[in-house]
Amino acid sequence: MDNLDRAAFLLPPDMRSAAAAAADAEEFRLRTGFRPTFLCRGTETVLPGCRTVLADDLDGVLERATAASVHTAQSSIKNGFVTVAGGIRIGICGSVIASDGRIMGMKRLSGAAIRIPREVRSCADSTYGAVTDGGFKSTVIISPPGGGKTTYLRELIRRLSDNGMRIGLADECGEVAAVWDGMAQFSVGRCTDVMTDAPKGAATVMLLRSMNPSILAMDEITAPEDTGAALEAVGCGVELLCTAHAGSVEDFRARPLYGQLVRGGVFKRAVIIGFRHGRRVYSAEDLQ
Amino acid sequence: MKYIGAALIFTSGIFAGAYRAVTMRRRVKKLYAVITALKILESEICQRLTPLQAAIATAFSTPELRRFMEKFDALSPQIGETGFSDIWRSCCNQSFAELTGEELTCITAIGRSLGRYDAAAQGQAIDGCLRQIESAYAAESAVCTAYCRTSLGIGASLGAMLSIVLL
Repeated sequence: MDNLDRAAFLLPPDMRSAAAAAADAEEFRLRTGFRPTFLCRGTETVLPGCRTVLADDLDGVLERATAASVHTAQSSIKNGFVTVAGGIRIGICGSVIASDGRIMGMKRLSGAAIRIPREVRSCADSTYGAVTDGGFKSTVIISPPGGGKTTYLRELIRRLSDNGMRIGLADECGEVAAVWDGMAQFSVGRCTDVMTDAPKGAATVMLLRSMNPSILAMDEITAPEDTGAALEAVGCGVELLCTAHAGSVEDFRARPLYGQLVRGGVFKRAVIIGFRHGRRVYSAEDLQ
Repeated sequence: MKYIGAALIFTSGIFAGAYRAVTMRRRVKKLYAVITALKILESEICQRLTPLQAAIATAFSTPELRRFMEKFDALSPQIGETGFSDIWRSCCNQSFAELTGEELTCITAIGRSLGRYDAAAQGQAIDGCLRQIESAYAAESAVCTAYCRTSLGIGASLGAMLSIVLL
């Protein structure tokens, strides 16, 4: 069963065949009151022949994703997603249950985005030389959401790792290596150690303490705690490989969240992923 | 011949009374087993966050609930393909013949929450069901204690009376 079939299986039974036929789909999107769609190269298209999504369908998606054990996934539901076998991440939206300012869970789901991760072995070909020129230096991978940062990160990790660099991967959402039953389902190279499920800050400390990496990799610096984790790692003398949401290097520099990283000159290089004529374009840039 | 017939009638009277007593006892036992199972299920889900299939396997492992577990083991591979509430309903319908329609409806209804919502919501559903089953158990066990021997006696007496009339 490939990841497209796995993702299609999460949908209500009457939508599965239409979903499985959408071979290029990068995401399936369900919103109550609307017909389901799939996302392909930044464009959303309605899944043909499918009815309107009901609230019960979204509960059903979570039920299938957790093998009828939604309560076991509460900690990740609080963060707005659930990851299932194959590294498929289901982002969820709904009415948040909060208590004392803390998010406790989610009820009355209104939308779900089912991401289908794929290995694209060639995606780092054009930039690998530039990224490793004179030895690997701390690099940030930049693109808007859905640009393919995780796919590129995974491939870069694999190539660096297979070339003998020890990489510690803090895979908080389980999307990069998609570890299931202790086994990475995506190839992340022979010298990569993966820490899953832990918050990036904690995972970084654990990896540094226990696995002696030469590169620390993490997906999505999206919160101040993640920035803290990155700064902590740099102070320990390892190179960093991270992804960040930004449209360009200028956007990256301008975002307050990344201010400390930019001012500290943490990242020496950036890989920018953009779209041209509906295709992804990768370019590397020195930040110094 | 007459005496043999009378003896048979008398014996069947005793058996009828015994059957009634055993049925009552069986129902009480089943209610107690269901209460215990639901309590374990609630604690597994709400406190230990055990995955539902494992929680059910732990909670429903008593001999009284063997039939339920056999049915569940047979149907659980369909989770995902079939909604959990359908699987739960099917297991309940085929395993709890001793329960009244109302009790069965109450147990079946928690299947709509089990595995689908957070632990608190599942706990609430189980709690509601537990209250109803516990009150049924309390009433039934009181009746059982009082009437088990009586029904045996009534059966024997009716059999004896009928035998005497026939003789």
